[in-house]
Amino acid sequence: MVKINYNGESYEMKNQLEELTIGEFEKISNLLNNEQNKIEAYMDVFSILGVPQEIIDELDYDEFVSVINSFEFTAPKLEYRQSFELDGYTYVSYTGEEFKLKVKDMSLCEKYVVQNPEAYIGEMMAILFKRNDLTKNEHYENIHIKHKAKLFREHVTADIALPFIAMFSEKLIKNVVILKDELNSSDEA
Amino acid sequence: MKLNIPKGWDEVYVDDFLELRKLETDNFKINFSKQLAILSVITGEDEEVFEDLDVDELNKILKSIAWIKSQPSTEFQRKINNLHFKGFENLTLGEYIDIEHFISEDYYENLPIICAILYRQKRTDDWGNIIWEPYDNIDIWKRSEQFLDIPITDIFGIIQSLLNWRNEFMDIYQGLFQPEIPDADPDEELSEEDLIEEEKEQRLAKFAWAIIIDKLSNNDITKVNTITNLPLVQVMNHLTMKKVIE
Repeated sequence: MVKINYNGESYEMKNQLEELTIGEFEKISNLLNNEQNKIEAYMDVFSILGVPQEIIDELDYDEFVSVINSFEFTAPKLEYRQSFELDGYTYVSYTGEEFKLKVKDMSLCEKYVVQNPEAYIGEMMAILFKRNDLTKNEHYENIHIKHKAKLFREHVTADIALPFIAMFSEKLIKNVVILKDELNSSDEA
Repeated sequence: MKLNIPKGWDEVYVDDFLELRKLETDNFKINFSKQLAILSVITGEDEEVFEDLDVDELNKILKSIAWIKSQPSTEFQRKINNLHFKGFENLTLGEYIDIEHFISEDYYENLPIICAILYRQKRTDDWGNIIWEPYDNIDIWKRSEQFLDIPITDIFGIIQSLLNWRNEFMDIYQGLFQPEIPDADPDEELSEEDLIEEEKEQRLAKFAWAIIIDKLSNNDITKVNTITNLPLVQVMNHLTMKKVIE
């Protein structure tokens, strides 16, 4: 957390990945990636992170920049969390020695990316983290994924999601390159 | 998991090739769905078989089918089972008309049926002349099924050969294929009579072959089969001669 002082009052603001929920991280990522006006984008970020709007409007610019520089939204080391507990259930991403992304999971994740490029991380994590008391079919039901995605957005922190986001993006790009190079033959055939 | 992954087009059958072509035209928004569909077609395995693979393993498999980027060979077999390639120069009028129809739709999609027309049984008469299986005797739809279960490399090249031959053929007889629309100055407005004439020519172009057959048979429908079984070249030469005389 970082503290913002204004008129003798102190306001706490999240500035670490492990303090952000996945939902907050999605919104912040979209703002910072899409908004042309970066100052305006960061003002919206501050609002997402818990600072009242009237305080944001009155902040000293130098303090505004200083707080932005204190954000730590990258992970020093990308480790795939194997499991976590939430509401009495255990959610597991892999059971073997290391995490491996399955084709079925990748295919489903890609579907949600296509459907909503600005908010897919919740669904992606819902696909990758499986409840250990459900069958495979139950896990992949659309309603279950949607329900879990909402739950994860509200309660799972971004530091757990970030390694998976980075891995997914890397594999998606790599796979698209392979597809483009090796299966782009339709016009000739 | 042991997968039967083809190493080249010579291991892909015609029906699978047609499935692959269909996949290319389907609107896949998701790369992985398309990849799984392609792999399912060429290996004959359900998509579910690939779903449990690691993405990195899938990428290795995709790399091993890099050949799919190229075209199959443009050569083709002259003999498929007991059927022989008849040769374009031996086509009858009826065979040519049917081939024209199937080319105009989608010649790769119609490859089996085009082959059903072009490949026939043959025998030799007492004087050593080749006698081709009569076209009227064949159900080309049923015959086309024989061409689904063979490597695509056996017949893929026949389309390009056919198109090349067709272009030359139409060049030779171009006077017969163009509708007779009088030359006009593009800036000059056509008279009402000329417009009607032009529209008539364009409508008649749709029924050109039927009109030709009707004329050659002197409007006698019982002679239609005889006319359509005539060698194509003979018919075209006859029509050319008539046009010159007229």
